[in-house]
Parts: sequence; C-alpha cells; structure tokens
Amino acid sequence: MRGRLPLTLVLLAAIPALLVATLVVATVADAMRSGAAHMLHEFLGATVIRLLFNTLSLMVAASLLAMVVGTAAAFLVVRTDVPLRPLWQALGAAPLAVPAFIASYAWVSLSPHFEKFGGALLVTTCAYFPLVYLPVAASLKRMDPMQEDMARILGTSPIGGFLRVVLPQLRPAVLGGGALVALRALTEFGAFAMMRFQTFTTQIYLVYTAGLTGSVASALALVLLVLCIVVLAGYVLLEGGRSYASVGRGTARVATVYHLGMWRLPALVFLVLLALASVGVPLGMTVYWLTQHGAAAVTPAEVSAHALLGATWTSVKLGVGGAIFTSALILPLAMLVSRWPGRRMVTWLSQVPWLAQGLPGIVIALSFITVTIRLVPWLYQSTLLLIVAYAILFMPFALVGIQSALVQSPPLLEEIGRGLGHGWFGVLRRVTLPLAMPGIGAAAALVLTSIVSELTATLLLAPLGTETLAMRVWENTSALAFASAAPYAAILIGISMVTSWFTASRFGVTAHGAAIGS
Amino acid sequence: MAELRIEGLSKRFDGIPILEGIDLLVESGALLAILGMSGGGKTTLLRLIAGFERPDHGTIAIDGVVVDSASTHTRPEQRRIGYLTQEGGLFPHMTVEQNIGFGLQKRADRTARIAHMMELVGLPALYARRFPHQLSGGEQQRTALARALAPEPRLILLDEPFSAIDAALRREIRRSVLAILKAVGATAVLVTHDQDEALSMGDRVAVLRGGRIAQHDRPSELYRNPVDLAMGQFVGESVLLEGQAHGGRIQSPLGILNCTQRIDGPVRVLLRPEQVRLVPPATPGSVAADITGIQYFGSDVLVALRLADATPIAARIFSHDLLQSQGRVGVMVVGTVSAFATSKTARHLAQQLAG
Repeated sequence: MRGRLPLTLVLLAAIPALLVATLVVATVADAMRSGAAHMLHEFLGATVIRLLFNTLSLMVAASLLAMVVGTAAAFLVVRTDVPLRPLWQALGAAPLAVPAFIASYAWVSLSPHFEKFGGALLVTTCAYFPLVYLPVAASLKRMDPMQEDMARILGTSPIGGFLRVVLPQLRPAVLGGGALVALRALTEFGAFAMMRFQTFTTQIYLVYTAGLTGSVASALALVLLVLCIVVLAGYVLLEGGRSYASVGRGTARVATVYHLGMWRLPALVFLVLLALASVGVPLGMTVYWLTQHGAAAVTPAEVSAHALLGATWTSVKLGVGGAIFTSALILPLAMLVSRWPGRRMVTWLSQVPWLAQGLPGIVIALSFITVTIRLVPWLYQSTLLLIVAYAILFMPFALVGIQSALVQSPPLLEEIGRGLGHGWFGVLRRVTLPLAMPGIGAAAALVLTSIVSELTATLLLAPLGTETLAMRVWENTSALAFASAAPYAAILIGISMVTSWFTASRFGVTAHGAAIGS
Repeated sequence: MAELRIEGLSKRFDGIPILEGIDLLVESGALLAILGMSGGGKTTLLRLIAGFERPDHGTIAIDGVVVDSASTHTRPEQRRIGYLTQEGGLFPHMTVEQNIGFGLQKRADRTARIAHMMELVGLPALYARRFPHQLSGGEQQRTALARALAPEPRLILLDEPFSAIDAALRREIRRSVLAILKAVGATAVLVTHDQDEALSMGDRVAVLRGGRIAQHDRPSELYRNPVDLAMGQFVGESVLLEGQAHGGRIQSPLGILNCTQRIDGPVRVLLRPEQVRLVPPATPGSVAADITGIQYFGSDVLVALRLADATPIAARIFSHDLLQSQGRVGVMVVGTVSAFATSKTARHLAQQLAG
C-alpha cells in the first residue's frame, strides 16, 4: 500500500520492541550493578564451567541429533515407499503437542535410569525434532522433482543426485530447524529439572528460589542470554540472505519415490521407535499412571476433583487471556508488515519478536521480577505481569499467523472501504479484521497451546495461590508422586492436542512448523 | 551423434494407454519434432527415451544399441542423453558455471569446456558466477541448453523448451537454439504443441494423436498433404468446402479445383487461406465473394469472406494488397487442394442435423 505510515499504528507496533528492550536492559543493568563477573567467580567458580559444559554439550548433541533424525524422518516420509506413510505424515507434528516436561515426567516415571545427560538428550531430541522435520518435509515437497531427473540424465546415480542436488537445497531448513532446537535446549527448564540435569536454567531457578541474591541469578541469566544471542547470530551469519528460490513454476509431477528395497524394514523400525519415543511413551505413561491408585507411585498422593478442576480452569483462563493479549499486542505490527512491507522501520520492528525467540522464559521472568519490584511493586506477582511475559515469549507465533491471515484481506478491499468514506480504523474494524478473523483465531490457538504448556515463567511469575496444570504436574513429579501428576498431564496434553489440531487444520501441519521455524 | 530407433513402444499408466505401438526413426544429426495436444503422451515419450520410465512393450535403441526392451533397461545416467525442459530445471543452489559443469565431473577439460559452452550458447563470461534466479528466462534457457550439451550427449531431448519464454523472444531463441543444435550436429527430438514450432524446427514432424503416431512426414508434406481432415485442421489454418470429385478435379463453390489425390464422389475439400487470391470482381476464372471481416497482423491480413451460397472462407494476403480490396471482390484458388471422401454416415448425420 502506498502513502505514509500511520503514526498511531507505528507507535502501537513499537510496544513489543520497547518491552523486549526494557527486559534486556534490566537484565544487563542488574547483573552489572553488582559486578556480575566478580560474583560469578566468587560465588560459583567451577560451577559455571560445569554449567557451561553441560548446557553447551547438550545443546550441540541435541541439535545435531534432531537435525539427523528430523531430516531422515522427513525424507523417509515424503520421498520413499516406507510402509504406513499416511500414518507417519499425520504423526509428524504430534510431538509438538506434548510439552517437553511432560515427556520428561513420562520417562522419569518409567525408570529412574532416564536422567542426567542421556535422559535430557533423549527428551530434548524427541520433543523438538519436529522443528527440523516439518520445515525439511515442506522443502522436500516444494522441490521441483525435475531437478533430480536432470541430475540423473547428466550422469549422476540416484544417490549422487540426492547428495549433490537435494541435500544442499535442504540446508536452510535443516540449519534453521537445528538453530531452533539449539535455542530450545538452551532455554528448556522443566524437562531438565525433572531429569536432574544441571544447566543454566535449572541453576538460575535454584539460585533464585534459594533466596540468594537476585543479582547472581541475573548474572547467570546474562550468560544464558549471551549464549542464545550467539546461536541466533550464528544462524544469521550462516544462512542470512541465502535463499534457493526455485526457478520457474516447476512441473506438477509427483516427486520421485525412492524404493527402499531391503531397507524398508529398518526404515519402518526407525519410524516406529521415533513415534514410540516421542508420542508413545509420554501418552502411554500418562495413561498408565491414570489407571494406578495414587498410592502406587513412589510418593503416594491423591488428586481431588476440586484441585483438578481448579487447575484446568486457571490454565484455560491464563491461556485464553494470554492469547487475546498477545494477538492484540502483535496486531499493529502484523498490519504494518503485511501492508507496508519493505519499509526500513517496518523491517526493523518485525525482527524484534524473532529476537525474543532468544530470550529464555527464565530470563524474561527474572528481569520482570527485577523491574517490577524496583519500579512498579503493585505489578509484582500479578496476573497481568504473567500475561505480558507470555506475550513476549510467544509473539513470534502470533506474528506469523496474523501476518498470513491479514494477507487474506486484500488491500484493494481496504481501499474500496476508504473510498466509501471510512477512516483507516473504521476499515480495520469493518473490513480487515472480519476477513482475517479465522486466521487470527488459529494463531491465537497456537499461542494458547504454548501458554498452557509453559512452565518456567509460570512457576516464577504466577501470583501466590495460582495453580496451573503445568505447575501441578511439576510439583507432583518433583515429589515423585507420579500417579497424582497423571490427571493433570492428561488434561494438559488433551488441551494441547485440541488446540494444535485447530491450528493445523487452519494453516496445515507444515505451516505450523513454518510458524515455529521461520 | 547417434541415430534413435523406436519400435512398437507402448506405455500405460494405471491401465490407461498413453502410448500405443510407437515406431520412430531419427537419423543421426536430424531433428524430429513431435507435435501433439497437451496431455497427449508427448512428455511420456521423452521420459521413456530418457529412461525415467520403463516401457510396457517395445524397444528403444540409440546408435544401434538397445537401451530398453523387455529384457534390458539402461539407467538414465548411462544413456548419454541431454534433456531440456520448459522450465530449464536449473539447480537453484548452483551458479551458471556449476550448472553447466554438473555433468562434467570427471573431465580434465571441465573449466575449458564450461567456457566453450557458455560462448556457444551466447552467455557472457561474467555470468559464470550468477545464480539462476538472477537470469532472465531466455538466459536460463541458454544455460540449460549449455548444461545439456556440455557432456557431449549422443541425443538431445527438448520438452516444450520455449513455451515459458515471452512470445516476443521465442522466435529468436528458437532460431539460435536450432543453429546451435545444427552446429554441433545434434540428433534431437523436440516435443511441442505449437505447430509453427514443429513445422519450422523439425526436419521431420511426427503427429501424436490418441497415443499413436498419426502422421510422420516432412513439414511441407504434412502441411500440404494431411492424412485426414482433422490432421489438416490441426497443423494449420484451413478453409473447408463441400464438393463433388471426378478423378483429380473437384466441383466446388470456389469453382473447379485441382486435387492431389485421385478421388470420386462427394468430398470435403481442405485448402489453406494463403491459396485464396483476391482479384477485381468479375475477373475471368474467379468467383464473387463479399468481405465480412478483416484481422490485421501487420505483414499479412486474414480476410473473412462469404461466397454467393453463404459458404464462409478466409484468405491470407499481404497487408499491402488489402488496400485495393473493398466490399465485393473476386476470389480464385492457386495450387492443389486436399480432398477427403465424405463418408455415408457423416453425410447422413449432416442431413439429419439439417432436417
């Protein structure tokens, strides 16, 4: 659209950027104020080295493993004659509906052997490999099959053609997904805490809840923040500006299906194991503990219907509130991006939510606590604060979804609306929003899913007495009361599956991946 | 370059016959144009020759060596064939240089060969480091041609290679590709749905209809002597008349016409609009006609006319000649025409419809 950017819209769109900037500045300032380097050295010394080693080794191992597993699974499902392809296709995004800490709960309750590095690696890979699988599967489907024919006619074997032509073009999807898994591995808290695997997040939580000085936590948070930014920057340096825009329209030919021959069975076993590990065990263990009497677990505890209903209600309330707030917060920015693309200011502002991807929930929570206690004490431990934290965590999902929904409402219709005598706000209310509503709803559902399964920020920021489903699972698992954690986990997975299904039915499963992956 | 021989080739997809009993011979260094409607199995034929699909029946031999039969199947990568498609199929993650060099992995003269191919297809050397998306459609197609020709294939297959290019550029690119193919002495098979392209590029043209080769001839023969009425209408603009044939001569609304075949009885006559000449009214040997419309193409004009018995005909004349023609004119036919016996059933049907 032509014309000047409306000032009101720009100001509204700048709010997310201001929030993120405030948080980063607060974390840095708080850590610096008390001489972070000195404190880290004095207070933790060797601990920091161990944390660094744990965190980085898990990050590297999990992202590499997820890249291999996700790419292999995508290739098998999209391009080979592996048995039960439709089933695997349908299952591709399913692990995303199972929060990592629930998966962790399932494995820990299966056997105490699943803990420390091995368990953490297993859970992280199983929970987050779809972040690689989905974009890679989408790229494989998009790729012009003619290219592989061309490689062969030019004298290359099928495997050679795959290595020289297909694999290089999957690179952005594989590396992009890998970077996301790395970020998740850096910022994951619940799953690692349950596995008794010490990383920066678990240590920050420990330091904070032990009531030690907040500055130590802030100093640790600063290190974590720097690690996240390094991952983001590394990805941008590797892949920034690289695009393999397909040349021409491509033919509507069905892609070559590779015949696995004797490898069909091993491939099938691989996919079965992957599905079992990522979806089967979490669901299976939850169901198992549901059928057990509360006393059967290591720690006996009973669940009252009252507590169950209460936690469900709180989770849904926070989820819906957070989804609405996040959508409203991001709407002006999405408007700018979809209507005035290419303006420098718009491009700059639209990067902010992605930067927030590198902000761990625990860092956001900590700096909110720091800021509110010092500046606006009445906000501390309020529901509003928690919802704002959710908004910052999940605004990338909202931005992608709402942006693509707004494209559904062509600028021409808005111009007609303007021509009929409405101001831009009137057009927004009467033309744009009604057209974009279904897509916005789907984006909000994705945010809702994420909020309901969020644990870290919720633990730190929830007002006293607030109990969500995620918190109940966490408390019971920490106390080894696996049977009483099960009903909460079951409801949580149920909500997550329903809302994920809703999002996927709107955007398609791969778009769900793209929303997370882009 | 090599000879291509195809015998009794058949292919079905899901039980639906796509190609049936195809026999073709392309001599070394010749270009065969295969003309057919879209979805008529043209691309399938090329994919069979390339080895991407296996035929149900029949044999394919290149240079006397069978590459496909009931008992043998040579892999595509071992056939030494070049393939050029509508979209070019360039690898988007590789530069022009890397694309052209793709099939030259093991050759010592790779660099020199790439430079030579770029020169041959008329790509400036500074394009070597560009990516496909930085090229125009014509440049992409030149790159694809260079890539296809670089490994010195025995045979080159062209699958509607010009249809994605702007009409304005198409003719020029067609001409230069043809010149390049002739320069390297390539044996080539071109498939297209565009009869201009088939007639202007092919040394021979095979028309694929209903999965079979309906006619296989030199372009001039195909245009002048189509095997049936439908073929005549498919390969070019036509004027259709009813007539009565006696030996080689036909009584028609355009007067007495000379026919290429010996034929008797009621016929349908097919002639080309450029065979119709406009002359001043009442010129001896001409028939009177009224001009009903004019379609202007620049160098030439298509004039719509109506004869005294209301038969509509068309004449293609140089636009320069149009100035002298107004309102009522005389028309006469030059050259021989094609005639096809009107079958009894067809005549019966026509009468029924009229009644």
